[in-house]
Parts: sequence; structure tokens; C-alpha cells
Amino acid sequence: MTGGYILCEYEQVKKNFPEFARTMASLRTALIAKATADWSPKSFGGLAPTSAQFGETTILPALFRGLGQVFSAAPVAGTNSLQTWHQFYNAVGSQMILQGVRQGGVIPEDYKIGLVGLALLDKAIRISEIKMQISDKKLPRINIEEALAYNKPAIIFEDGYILDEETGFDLHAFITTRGPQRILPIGLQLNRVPNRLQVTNTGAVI
Amino acid sequence: MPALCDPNPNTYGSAAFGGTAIVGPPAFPTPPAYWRQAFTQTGHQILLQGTRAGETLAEDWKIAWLGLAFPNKQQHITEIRMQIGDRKFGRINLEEMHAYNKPALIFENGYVIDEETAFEIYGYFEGPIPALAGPQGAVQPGIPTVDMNGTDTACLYQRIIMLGAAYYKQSDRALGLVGAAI
Repeated sequence: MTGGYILCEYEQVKKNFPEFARTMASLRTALIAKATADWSPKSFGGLAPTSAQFGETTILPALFRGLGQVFSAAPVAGTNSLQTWHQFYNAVGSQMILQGVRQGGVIPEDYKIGLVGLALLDKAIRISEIKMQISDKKLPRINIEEALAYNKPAIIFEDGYILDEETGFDLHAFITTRGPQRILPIGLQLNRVPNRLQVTNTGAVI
Repeated sequence: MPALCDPNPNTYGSAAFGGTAIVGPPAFPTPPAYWRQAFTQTGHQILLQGTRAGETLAEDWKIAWLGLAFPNKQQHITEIRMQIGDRKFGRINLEEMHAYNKPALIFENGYVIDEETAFEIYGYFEGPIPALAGPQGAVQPGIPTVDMNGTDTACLYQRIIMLGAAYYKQSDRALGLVGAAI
């Protein structure tokens, strides 16, 4: 089945879900090919790119805003972008829990993201349903309460998604209880300007 | 070996951590005897660096570096950034570690840290570090502390182990007391 998803134990996903490796590999290949075309003449430089290359890393929370964070033209660390994936939900019901950090929920220029899933890294799961929009592509509501049966659950998409630079991204969720929650997007990130990640402080705004 | 590295400066607050008690602002007097570090501040800071001046690896030592292990039940580091010589590596988010029991970061290709070459690993320490005093002002029992310039300061521990191997040119450099400075 293509275009589907699976809820599973994240600790076991790499052992018992070999399709995940294929999904991840094909998404990485597609993302690098897209970046090579869009950012020509730069080439892929991996974890330590030079000035003529674009780099790869994990998805960074600094590219996103969390619940209650509003756009600010003059970024102030910790107030309008995430420093870590940890959030404190102070409201219940349908809420926007993750969106691009730029105005309008847009992913910043010079960054491309490959998204293959979401990992819920807490013992207590505080969301019951999610809904996602990537640019003009809307993904419908998904009930994830099956996640309550697992230790460290994850939602793995059977086909990954590319969050392109300067396109909107929103993840909404129904929050059942107030409290801390750490939701980690699984995937990879490419950055066109190596210096932005090589000289900025860890946890700093981008 | 941890003696080849400097950890974050606050680890040196007390001789109990293998270093020498210091006076004045945090500094790097002697390397600790083990990889456990004490963090008294959150945010971006040094995690590990070469122990010689200019954050260089000691002469006559070479390190084959394969990754980092975080053998704690609770993880506090969310992001790292590193530099070996003039080669800079971009920021990497590590929060996926929360899904694992005793996580490690393994590089697909290892790195050689050559003698007299600078290396630094920076990280974001998330915290929060518990307050030493409770709501009524009384010292709370069970809060780990480190001696910072003669003052007991609340801290959190994190053990960050460099995975790989160290090679030395002169055998007597590795024949000193266990845990001793190199």
C-alpha cells in the first residue's frame, strides 16, 4: 500500500519494519536529487559540507514553532522557535503543535526537509488525533490513540514527504491533557548554506 | 581516555570529580579521570575538547573516533556541533535518543583526530537543573551538587563517552597511574 502509515514501537521499527529503511533511503535519494537540481551548481556534502556544497543533518527544532509561539520578525531565542522538541502544552483541544518558523508557517529559505514520520518520545501521550498540511497538500485526520498501547510509539509514513524551502507546514493535534510532550519529526534535513549550521550555537535560532 | 579531553568547565568544581578544586571563574586546570560531567548551566556550551592549549589533542596521541555513547537513563543533550581541525560539522539534533535505553551516536565513517590538532564538541544542555533550595528556602535533599568556588551548586550529571581507540607513540605515556593526567 502506498501513501499509508503505520503506528508502531519506535524502538523496534528498525528491526521489524525493513520497509522503513527503504522509505528512508528513497526519500533521502529524492531529496538530494531535488536539492542538487534546485541549488545547482552545489553538490551534496554530507555532514561537513564545504562552501560549494550543501549539507545534511537531522531535522532541527529551530526550523519550527510550537504551540503558543507566534511569528516575530526579530527572532528572540526560545520565544518564537523551538530550541528542542520538548513542548509544554498549556491548552487542550484542537491546536497547532508544529509549523514552519517563518511568517505563515513557512519553512525557512535554504532548508529542505524529508519527513518519514513522527516519534512520540514520552511515556504519557497527550494527543489523540493529528492533521497535517504541507503546502497545498492536506493530509486528513488520523486517530493515533493506538499509540497508547506502545512504550515509545511512532507514526511512520509509507511514503516520505518533502517539506520544501519556503513552503508552508502545519501539524495540528487534539490535545487531551496539559503537560510536557516531546514529538520528534523523523527524517533528514538539507541546508544550502553550510555556515548557518556550522557556526551557530546549538539550540540557537536559524 | 578522558584524560585527553577537557569537559565542560563546571565539571572541575571539586576534586571529587577527579580534577582540582578551582578558585575564580571556571577553567580547565586538570582533566578528569572519567567521562562523567557535572552541568550547572543549561544551553550551548563545551561538551568535550582537546586538553592542550588551543583545544588541541596532546602530542604523540592519535584518536580514531567512531561516535559518542550516552550511557545514562536520562538524556540531557539535545543537539551537538563539532569541529576537528579546520573541518566544521553542522548542528545535529539528538533527541531521538529519548526512545532508546543507552543510546549512542555512530558515524558511518569514522574520523581521525590527529596529535596537536584542535577538536571541540559543543552541545545544548536542556535541563532544567533542579534548584538547590526548596520553596521555603531550605536545601532540598537528594539534589546532586558540585563545589563551584567553594559553593555547593546544584548540577545534573551526564556521561558522554567518545567511542573509538587512542594510539600513542611512547608506551610510558600510557603507563601512568590509572585516571592520571597525561
